[in-house]
Amino acid sequence: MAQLRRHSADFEKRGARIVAISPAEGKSAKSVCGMFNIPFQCLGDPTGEAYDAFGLGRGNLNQMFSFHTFFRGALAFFRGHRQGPSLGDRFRLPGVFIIGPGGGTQWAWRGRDAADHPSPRAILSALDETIGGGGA
Amino acid sequence: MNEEGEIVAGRPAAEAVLEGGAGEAIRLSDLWKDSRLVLVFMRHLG
Repeated sequence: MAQLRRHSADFEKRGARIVAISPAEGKSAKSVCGMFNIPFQCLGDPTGEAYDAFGLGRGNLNQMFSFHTFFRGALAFFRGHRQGPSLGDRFRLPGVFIIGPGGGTQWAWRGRDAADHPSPRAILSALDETIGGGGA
Repeated sequence: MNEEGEIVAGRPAAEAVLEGGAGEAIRLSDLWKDSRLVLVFMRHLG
């Protein structure tokens, strides 16, 4: 989220609104977003309804505790990032989706493991591509 | 890092009900009514 926060103006320029979803209760999601000064709307999905609807399942042990997840965690730590509390279902895998104003999905990205996240640059590039393609 | 997303132009997005900060129900379809939406599903916030 820290990386997305740094690029928030780039998303605004493209007319895109970011909404962060956590597997926690809405109250907890809002509270943690406030703690980290996250400038996006933060919502909770404690039942996992939205995660399921977007095809984001629960990871297995290898997807949660692999060399890659530890490596990414250590890398983020040494870059000065601190992880917020994991609330709700800790086994949910991450994902990012771009939805057009008409409700059409324009870009879908699903994490392969718990530490797999697209860079802001990749999301911005997808936004540019889908704007250029005139998606729904 | 897996940077490859999938372009899925026009496929209707799934509907779901989320929880706001005061426990209120928020429909996903209300979020994309007026603007393009980037939905970021997290494991943790921070």
